[in-house]
Amino acid sequence: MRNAPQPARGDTSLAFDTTLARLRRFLRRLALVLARGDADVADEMVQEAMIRLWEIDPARYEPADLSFVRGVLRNRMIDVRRRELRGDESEEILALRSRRSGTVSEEAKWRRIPRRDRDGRAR
Amino acid sequence: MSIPLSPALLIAAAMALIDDEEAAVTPSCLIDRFLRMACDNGNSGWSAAFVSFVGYWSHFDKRAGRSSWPLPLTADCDVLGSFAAECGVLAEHTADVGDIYLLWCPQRQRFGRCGILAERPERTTVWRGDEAFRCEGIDADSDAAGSAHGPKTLIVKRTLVPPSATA
Repeated sequence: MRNAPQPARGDTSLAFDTTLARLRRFLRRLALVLARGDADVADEMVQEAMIRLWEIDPARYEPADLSFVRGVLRNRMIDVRRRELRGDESEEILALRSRRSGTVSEEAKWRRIPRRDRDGRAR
Repeated sequence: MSIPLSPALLIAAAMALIDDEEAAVTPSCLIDRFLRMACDNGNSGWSAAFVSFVGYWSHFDKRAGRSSWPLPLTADCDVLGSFAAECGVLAEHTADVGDIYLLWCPQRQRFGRCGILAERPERTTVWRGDEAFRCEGIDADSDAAGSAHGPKTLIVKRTLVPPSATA
């Protein structure tokens, strides 16, 4: 006997996976540039971009809107980087204050991330 | 006497038009019928035309020769959005079975697609704590990924997030 017909089904999580697959290289490349080669910082930015992608629900965009989606994710990554750098700046101030008093906090030392070029070499 | 508005009628009529698992696409002659129902051409695919078609015929009283479906017969999701806003029934924070959902497209600054909620949505939050609804919609002009446009009529699981969280 033939099985009872079932309705066609879909899930927008597929759209997330598909869009992410299309953008992953772009996100990784951009993250490395913004993070000046720091892989850990770049990973964090890619994660943030993925959260943003999930939030905006890529299923609502048409394929022609990919550059718009890319722009939204780029902005999120830039925001994250700015936040990160603001954090660094405040640490720098802390470090300067510590130097004046003759000590540099361990945390401040660790927070100073070396700048790297696109190949990941420290500058 | 006209037929009172009923989510059950709307959903039953929409379910009758869903493609079955084996169907590749919604037949074009059916899409043409949806679009003919609309009084405008619209420029947001045929999801709104499907809602209009299903709404109209599910609430059609053959004796009276008219339908009690209150929404405009349109192929344009933005027309539905404007109408809902004018009537004060455009809701961001509530949703129920049989409601028509509209998806806002920030890129185009207009509603890009719509569908019918087939189940009571489950209230949830997205990663940043924004309110959202996890739901199953009856979607025309879509595909297995719930894309903005596609060749099928199907049941799509999606997370509806208020526009404020997606802008």
